Amino acid sequence: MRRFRIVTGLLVAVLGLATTVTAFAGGEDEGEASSAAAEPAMEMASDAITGFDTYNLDSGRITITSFGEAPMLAAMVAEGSLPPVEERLPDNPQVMEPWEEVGSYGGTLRTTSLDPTWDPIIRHVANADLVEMLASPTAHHANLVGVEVRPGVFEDWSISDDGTSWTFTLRRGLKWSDGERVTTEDVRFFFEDIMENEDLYPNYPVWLVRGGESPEFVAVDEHTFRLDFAAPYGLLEVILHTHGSGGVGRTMKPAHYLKQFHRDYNDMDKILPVMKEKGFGDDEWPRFMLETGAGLMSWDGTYMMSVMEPLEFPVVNPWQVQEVVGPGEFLFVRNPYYFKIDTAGNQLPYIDYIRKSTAEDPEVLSLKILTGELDVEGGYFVKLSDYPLYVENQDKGNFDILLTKDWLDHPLIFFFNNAPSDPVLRDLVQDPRLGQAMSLALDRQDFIESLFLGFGRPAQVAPVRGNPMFSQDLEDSYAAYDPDQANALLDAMGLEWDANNEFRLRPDGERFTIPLTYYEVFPSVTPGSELASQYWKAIGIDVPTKVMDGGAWWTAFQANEHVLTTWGLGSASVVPSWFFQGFSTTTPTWWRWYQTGGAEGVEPTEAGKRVYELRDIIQSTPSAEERLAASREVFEIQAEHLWVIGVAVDVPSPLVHSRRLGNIGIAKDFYNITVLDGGEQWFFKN
Amino acid sequence: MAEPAVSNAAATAEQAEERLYLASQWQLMWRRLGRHRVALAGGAVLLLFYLTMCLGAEFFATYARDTRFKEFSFAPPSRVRVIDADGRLRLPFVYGLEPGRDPVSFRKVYTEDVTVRYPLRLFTRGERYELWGLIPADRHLIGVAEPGLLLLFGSDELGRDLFSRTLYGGRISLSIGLVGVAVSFVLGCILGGVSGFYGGAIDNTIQRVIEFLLSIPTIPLWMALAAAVPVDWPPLRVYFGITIILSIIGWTALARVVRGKLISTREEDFVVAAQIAGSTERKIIVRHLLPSFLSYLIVDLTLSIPRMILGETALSFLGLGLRPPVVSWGVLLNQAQNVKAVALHPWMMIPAIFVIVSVLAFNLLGDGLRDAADPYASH
Amino acid sequence: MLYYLLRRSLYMLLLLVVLSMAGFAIIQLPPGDYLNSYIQALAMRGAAPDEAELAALKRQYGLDLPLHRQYLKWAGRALAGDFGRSMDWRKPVSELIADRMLLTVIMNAAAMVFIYVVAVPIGIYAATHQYSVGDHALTVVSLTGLATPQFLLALVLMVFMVRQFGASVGGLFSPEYVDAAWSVGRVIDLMAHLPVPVIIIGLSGTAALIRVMRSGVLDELKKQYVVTARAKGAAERALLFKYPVRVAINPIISTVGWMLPATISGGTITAVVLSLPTVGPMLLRALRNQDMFLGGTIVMLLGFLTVIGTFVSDMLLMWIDPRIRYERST
Repeated sequence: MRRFRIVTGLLVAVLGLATTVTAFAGGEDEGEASSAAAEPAMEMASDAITGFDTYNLDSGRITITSFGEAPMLAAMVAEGSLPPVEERLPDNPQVMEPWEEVGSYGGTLRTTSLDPTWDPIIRHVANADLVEMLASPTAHHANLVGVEVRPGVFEDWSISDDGTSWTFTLRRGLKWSDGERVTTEDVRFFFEDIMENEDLYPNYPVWLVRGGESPEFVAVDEHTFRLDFAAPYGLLEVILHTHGSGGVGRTMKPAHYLKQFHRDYNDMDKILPVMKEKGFGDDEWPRFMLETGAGLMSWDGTYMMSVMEPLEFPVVNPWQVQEVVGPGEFLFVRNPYYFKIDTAGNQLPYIDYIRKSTAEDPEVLSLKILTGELDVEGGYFVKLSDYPLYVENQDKGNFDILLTKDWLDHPLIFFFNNAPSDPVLRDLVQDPRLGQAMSLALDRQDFIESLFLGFGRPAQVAPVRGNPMFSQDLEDSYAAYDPDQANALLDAMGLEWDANNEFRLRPDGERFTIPLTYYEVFPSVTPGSELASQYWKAIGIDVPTKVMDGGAWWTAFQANEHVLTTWGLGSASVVPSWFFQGFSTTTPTWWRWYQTGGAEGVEPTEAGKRVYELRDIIQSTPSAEERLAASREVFEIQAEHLWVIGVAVDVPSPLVHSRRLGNIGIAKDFYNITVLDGGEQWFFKN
Repeated sequence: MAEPAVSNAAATAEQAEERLYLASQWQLMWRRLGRHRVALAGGAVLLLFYLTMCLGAEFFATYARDTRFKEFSFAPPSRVRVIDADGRLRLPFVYGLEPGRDPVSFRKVYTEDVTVRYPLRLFTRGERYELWGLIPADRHLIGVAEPGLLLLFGSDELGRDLFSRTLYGGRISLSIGLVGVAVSFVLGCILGGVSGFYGGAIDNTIQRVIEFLLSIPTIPLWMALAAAVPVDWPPLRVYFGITIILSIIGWTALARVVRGKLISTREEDFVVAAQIAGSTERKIIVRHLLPSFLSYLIVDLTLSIPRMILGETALSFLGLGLRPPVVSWGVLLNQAQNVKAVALHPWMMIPAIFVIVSVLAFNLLGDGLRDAADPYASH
Repeated sequence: MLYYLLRRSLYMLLLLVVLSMAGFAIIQLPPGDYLNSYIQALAMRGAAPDEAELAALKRQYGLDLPLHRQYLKWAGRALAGDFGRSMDWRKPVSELIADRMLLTVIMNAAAMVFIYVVAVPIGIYAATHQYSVGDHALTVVSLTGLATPQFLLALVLMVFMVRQFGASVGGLFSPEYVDAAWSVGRVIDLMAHLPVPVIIIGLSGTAALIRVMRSGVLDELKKQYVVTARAKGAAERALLFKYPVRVAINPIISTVGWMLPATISGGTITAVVLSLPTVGPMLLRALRNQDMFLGGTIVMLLGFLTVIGTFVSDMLLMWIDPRIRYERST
């Protein structure tokens, strides 16, 4: 029902790649693509099948006549240990247009993360998606509006007219990294043998439940399947794409591989020795299964599982783990069956290996960047406040820094628990004037100068520029620095000053105190809350700040013991997660109320209830327009109630990369994660 | 003529010797300490620190703890000059400071405005405060007239005067040492005393507890104890919680010393004599045993205060101790614990000098006291 | 003697059991459990935790069981030498620790050697040259080492190494040797990376040891037998090393045993800053994430080292100084 095509115009406008792209689009002969860099690949492909017809571009047809492959794979083919490239590729390989030029094969990409069990770089670089988005300045994983979506692992997908049934087609001929074909059996295995197994999953994942029921899986044929939901579910397409919920690891599993560990398919006698070897107790089969690839923990696809245990776990990603060097240290090697090619027919990725190490301390990572020991680093671990340090050392370390858009559109936000336990405080917090006053009390320019090196502009939490929902009014809502008006609003709420004229008093005569508890999610939160606390003191609100341990914060949160918190906000878009998730991360009691249909929890305010109604619409409707309208209304209500107070947007995130790395520098207008998503077409310049 | 002089001198010497014999242990100790220059220097530094930080930070600090100068984040320490741009000698002054931003690295840069001079003033009027929460005042030891800025140690990320913050931070860090040691002292004396005096099962139990505490690695113990500090505690109470954490580990060493000393003195003649004379146990401990090794305890205490100060910085580093907005040396050092600070804003590390100097001073004083307390010292 | 050894071993065993319980309890003391740490980590990354996943994990990790049952389950397996699996790393605990334990012991043993090699001679020198300029200078210098917060010193040294030599920092190996098998080259590479952490960890211990050594020698030098020997014309050097130094070194030897665990524990902060692949940072992380099996095992292991160490020290002491009777040293 939809067409997914590359809109070349967008790319042209965005990247200024007019010449390259038109050349690709118009060129029928292979000569146009055989730049010097691609020559080795083309040589390799000399004896490949010709006349292979793969991909349509808007303005013409590219005919790939032959495929190229990495020299290391060609050697294996010559040896006979690997089938030829045309047999490894799917029937219809996906053509990925290199951002700058057709690259050359080889090299090892070095990167480090601070967390041995998780990596924000690899999870984007070495990841394949069910549906893909075309890289562009507005492309954001949780922001699918205004983004071109195109096939990934799924070749096609459509929704029934009533919105309850989705049909998906797997890419024909797609293979796991061990050479086995990807079929609907892999999806069936996930839905029926894993998700429906009560020992493995007592509950069904929230994102798959509609109308209180789990979806019914129907295999149409080897590569087409259907999911029938109990209620309309138009949003699924977006969810399939967002890293938070969907992804390959949450939709399909390599059944041929996992069946040997599944007790429904194999004798426990044969499984037990494997479990013992991996350190599981005899009664721990479910845990063994979850940690051996059946888990959902890898919200970023299959990366985490394949990294943790076991090495031979098949993936569809561009790279797979070859060796666990040590705890948190991995060597990845190219997946010989990866389904993408460049415009010259060369199989991606270009880079052979990724070496991922772990640093225990952020400063060691900083120093490794300075010494040029890392080829790419960005996102969570490269702080904007360190930008001056990097600029002054970039020639020494031979690296460049891209000031990319941060996936955290709002690097600093403050949000309320809309139903704190203290009844007096609850009434005050639910009065929209409090949020408005506290927002007006902040001198956002000061935050920008002190915390963000002068980058960014003052903004309320609202859709960002480039989003079809963007509106200057929403962004400016109570975002000016106006302490007088703030005081007037608080006066109107009847909050009198105390005898010393120092703080305001609550209606019950106590000092008006709103404790701000948080944990160090992002570097700006500690100075940010200290700063905000001073501004709020100026309008008579006592906001003591307290940083907590993350686990402790969540424990307090679950017990509804928090009132005000600071964070960063990643997606003020069609999936406005903080509201869309139904205040589940701000007001646990409301969320409980919504989830239990009003049986438990605390009844939300009228505005809160309206957000829940809109949430239902956003989830159900198959119509993109209707979804957009509902989302817009959510933001309009937010602009008045200010459940979440924003500070600034357009604060960039530095992304550091080696000067030897090609096809990356041009992406500086992208979101940082979008840059990382294009990892398979990076290459090392000679 | 010569003889009386000699006998005079001899008499003086004799008197002196007599005084020496008659002098109490305390007088002896004090006298020997007086000769220990290094220890005295340490003591003097500590006196100065406690005076300027614990007692009078409000007066000695240039600004209040949290006063911000919006435009002046990461401003380097003010250059106090005596020679102006025209080469003329003047009373100490600072030039005006113009904030700007480097167009390439976006780093804050500052230029001096040589057209405006702000002479340093003593006992200048500045921000109002209440000394010891009682006496309202607005005098500060040193300062410059507004809109001039005197940032002796530079400023931090939010443009707060680091000198003032160092003084206020010292108040917390130095007093944590004292309070923590006081707690350890009480715990150590009581438990060590009971253990040593009664012996038997009680002794055995206490010794096992000590051994147990010592065999648990410090960091897990800290973490567990820090987690036991309730989350809704206000900063001040957290502060006391932290001191108790530090002293829970600190008391064990002291208890062992006390026990050891008690066991060795218990058998000595004067105690046995007192027992025969019918003194009560309590009296024996308080009147006879305690004084006999109090000097050792004091030495031990002096040496454990710096451990507490260092412990506070370590706890802050691990994120277990005091956290902003509380200001302590540990908190300040935590803000300097990054490559950027070392490379671009080295003045952020100045609080470390205070930590080092105070720890050093306590140790030197402690060494001196130890030498002084040693009754066999020949020096 | 045999009776003593037996009693002593029984007591050590008891202490170990108590330690294992304490290790477990310590990790459970903070509110919440591993799942809360897991949720917060997810939330930091922008993902909302899924309730299905959490419910599954809670059951599979046995976190819904009461604490004592969790402990018994773990302890039962630990007796068979199986310490369970780390929830956080999703790997067998024994595998995780084995990787790091060797490097930890190498590094901290090197730090100990550094401490002794530096402290003992300086202590003797300071005692024989009491109140000289050299004595004061050495005291102040060694105390400064003790007084400098390790984390800051480590950071400054790292920045210095990078700026001056452009050296690779963090870890104990150069990138090319990280995953290499043990070879001469790898050993040399390790040696090249050791000095910075060893010095930083060693510095804080040196001052204390110098002090013990100095006062020990001083005490002995004042004793009658030294005076007598000196009066008899014994050579100053022989006089010094024959008895006073040997006696003064006793208290130091008595600490040898538990010095290693103490160094490991004390070196944790340095190891974190320098990003060393030792057990310290792993322990810290396990504690933060309430990864009970891993954290509990490391705590128990370090406790075990301490207990064994104390035992070794006592044995050494008895052997060196016959005046000490084993009855007393319990």
